[in-house]
Amino acid sequence: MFNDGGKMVSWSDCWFDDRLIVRAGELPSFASVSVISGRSGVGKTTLLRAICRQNRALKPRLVFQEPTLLPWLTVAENLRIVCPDEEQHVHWLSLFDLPDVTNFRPGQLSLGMQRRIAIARGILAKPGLLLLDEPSASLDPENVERLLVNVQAASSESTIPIIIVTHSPEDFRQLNPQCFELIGSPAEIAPKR
Amino acid sequence: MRFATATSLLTLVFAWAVTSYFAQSDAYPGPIAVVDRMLAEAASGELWFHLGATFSRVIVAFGFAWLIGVLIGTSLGRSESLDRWFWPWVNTFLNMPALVVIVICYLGLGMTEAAAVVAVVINKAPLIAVNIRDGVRQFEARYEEFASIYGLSWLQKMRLIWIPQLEPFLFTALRTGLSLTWKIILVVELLGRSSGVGFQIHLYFQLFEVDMILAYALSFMVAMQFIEWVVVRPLEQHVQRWRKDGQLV
Repeated sequence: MFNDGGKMVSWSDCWFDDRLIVRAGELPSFASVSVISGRSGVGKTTLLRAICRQNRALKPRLVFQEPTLLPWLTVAENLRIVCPDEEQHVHWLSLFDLPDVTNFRPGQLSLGMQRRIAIARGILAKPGLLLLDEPSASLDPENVERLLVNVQAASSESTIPIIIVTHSPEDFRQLNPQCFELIGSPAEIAPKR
Repeated sequence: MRFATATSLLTLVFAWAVTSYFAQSDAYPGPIAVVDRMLAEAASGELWFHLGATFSRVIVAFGFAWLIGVLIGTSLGRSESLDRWFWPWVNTFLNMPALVVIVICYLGLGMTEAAAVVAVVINKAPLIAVNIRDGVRQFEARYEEFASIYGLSWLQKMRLIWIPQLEPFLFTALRTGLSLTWKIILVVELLGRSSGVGFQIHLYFQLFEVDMILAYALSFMVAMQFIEWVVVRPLEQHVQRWRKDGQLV
């Protein structure tokens, strides 16, 4: 079972209106980073939301594909919403190679930077499970590389299990993740060969 | 931009001066005569007394209208069933002529300050409610989802998510509501009060002193523009300064 101290990640059937999108399932083994891939529209984000909703005991935090940093707040204020400890902000922003952005507003930063700050915010919220929705989408290779370094750092530094859903699993190969695939219609989870 | 605005206003005053000079009529005094009467009224203290009375009514009436409008608008924006049920009510009050509301309030509540305020609130709160309802409907679902997943409290949601998204609508409601409120207040005063700019306009209408009517009207317009440019706009620019840094991402 995918578990963290005995807790396991599972979900029930996911419906949208009258249509079954993703069948009930669970992640069958533990890994620090797990990647769930699948074609566009198969239900990856639906699954991630279901995991988030149905595994409250794990304190999951979802980092959305579109960064949801609040544009009217500075980066520091955005981070303060989930964690008042400014030393922690400095630590994670430095680790993510973003030391000088605290007084900027999201609109002044690139999409890649906003995604990485959103991941830092997710970690600062001290989750039991971090869920990343298509973190490499719309990023150029250089930004994907930076993102990988950050995810690696997050994984090793925080020991928070990370689940990534993506339609390009090859982007995350160097993280040595446990790979799963969402296939079929309604979609089902299966180990990726 | 400021030069263009100043030039435009000066041209208007100049056109007024020229046309009134050629008209040579008591019913159409020029700007110098009007400003002269305005200064005389200010020196006697009359102008300040009546301006103060009108402003007090504008602030109290608009304050209540704005508060009630925001509460109704937020409720209708958040709940589709409430919106379906109460929208016809709001629409009815929205289309009710101000004069009818004022007369009914004076008849029902007597010629009192309370009646004057209630009349303005009934007339203006629906307009503010419609504005706020539209704003609430445009809330970004992703911020709501973020707030829910990251466990933000109701107060945090209010302060960090809802109010910032509602700010443009709150300011539009403030600006349009305020500009309409003071016009209605003049009618309220004209019909049933014994102080205020509306009362003075009514008085000098009976005395056929057009220069005094214009002196009071002009001083009130100047005061309202002062509030718009010195209070409302700087406040709006301050609150929404983040928009200069980048739009919603």
